[in-house]
Amino acid sequence: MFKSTDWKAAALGLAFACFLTQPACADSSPARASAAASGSAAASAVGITGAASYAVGTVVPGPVGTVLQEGGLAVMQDGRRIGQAATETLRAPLPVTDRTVTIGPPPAEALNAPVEAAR
Amino acid sequence: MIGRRHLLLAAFALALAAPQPAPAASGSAAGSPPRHTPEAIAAQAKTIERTLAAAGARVAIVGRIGRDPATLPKGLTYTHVAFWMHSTIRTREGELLHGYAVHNLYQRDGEPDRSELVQDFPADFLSPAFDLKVAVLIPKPELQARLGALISSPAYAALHNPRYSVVANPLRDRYQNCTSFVLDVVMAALYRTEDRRQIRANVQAYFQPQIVEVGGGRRLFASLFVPDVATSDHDERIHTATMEALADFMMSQGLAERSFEVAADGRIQPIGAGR
Repeated sequence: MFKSTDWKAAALGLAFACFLTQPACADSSPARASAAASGSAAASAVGITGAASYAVGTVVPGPVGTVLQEGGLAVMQDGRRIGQAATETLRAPLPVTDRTVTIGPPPAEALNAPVEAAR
Repeated sequence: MIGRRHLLLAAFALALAAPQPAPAASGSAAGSPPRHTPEAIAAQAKTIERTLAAAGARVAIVGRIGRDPATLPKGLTYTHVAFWMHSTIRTREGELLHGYAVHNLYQRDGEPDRSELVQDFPADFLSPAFDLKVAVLIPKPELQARLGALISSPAYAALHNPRYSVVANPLRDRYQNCTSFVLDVVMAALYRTEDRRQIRANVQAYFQPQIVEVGGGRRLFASLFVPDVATSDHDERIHTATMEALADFMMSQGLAERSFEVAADGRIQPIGAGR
């Protein structure tokens, strides 16, 4: 039979294990990036208040009503705008520079190559 | 017991913090007082100049030993590399002399994480040497011609990256030291380009840098507290350009005619002889 102190110890151990598995820096976690990119106004609005909490792959909305009371509609609109901008940024084509870098011929060939063919 | 643990920790910290020689290359114009007499320096400088001239070298790459090799990581001997270019030199008195001008990238005095391009002469080059022995690479005549033209042009300075790290990674463009600068100039001349990205692509494709064996604690400590050691351009291992790696590259790729050492007594010997 477990004593009450055993249960307490087990609970403490479990809590400590959960603590260890948390991401060290939530701001840089992929969950935050995906939340911002989703364009969800609620998630973004909550995100900019710093009140959001994230589970892996899921956006957990915070107390939106509280956000509205504290920040008002402007916060929601700003959040929507930020979310939209993030989405557009991710959808934008990746820039490709016009100038290409190619590996030149082996050095010995480059030394003896005609001027225009050296690179 | 707690006191003993604290003592052990303090000893460990002190061991990490103990002055260590910088891991690889560095070059500076000033520094500790010369270990050799002016007469010995001048004589060896003239011996090297005559050796280069006899070999028909209009442009050569020369490495000096600036620190006791015993204090350097394994495989490293030469701590500064520069171009020696045969030139007509006008003295203060107006006299015209024929000899070699040395084109260096040096760390700045008082600002060791920055560098500058400095032209001086063989005696200046040898003055801070630990050992008067030098390593010499004589490029093929065609490459000498291209190097001479490049060094005399504004493109030469444009290849300089003033962000200095003793262990600059030549495969990346973040930092530069004297040897990686020489390598970049060689590649620029070889491929007739001033485009740093193009130069980097060819360096990555063909140059094999030297791996510097530095312990993790020492690497971390050095990068945190030694201003001219930056390791952020490296991955797990430190790769850097050295005179030895440059000689291997240029000889194996058919870019150099000869490589040799001029010993302190003037003898010519293969690079690495006597080690």
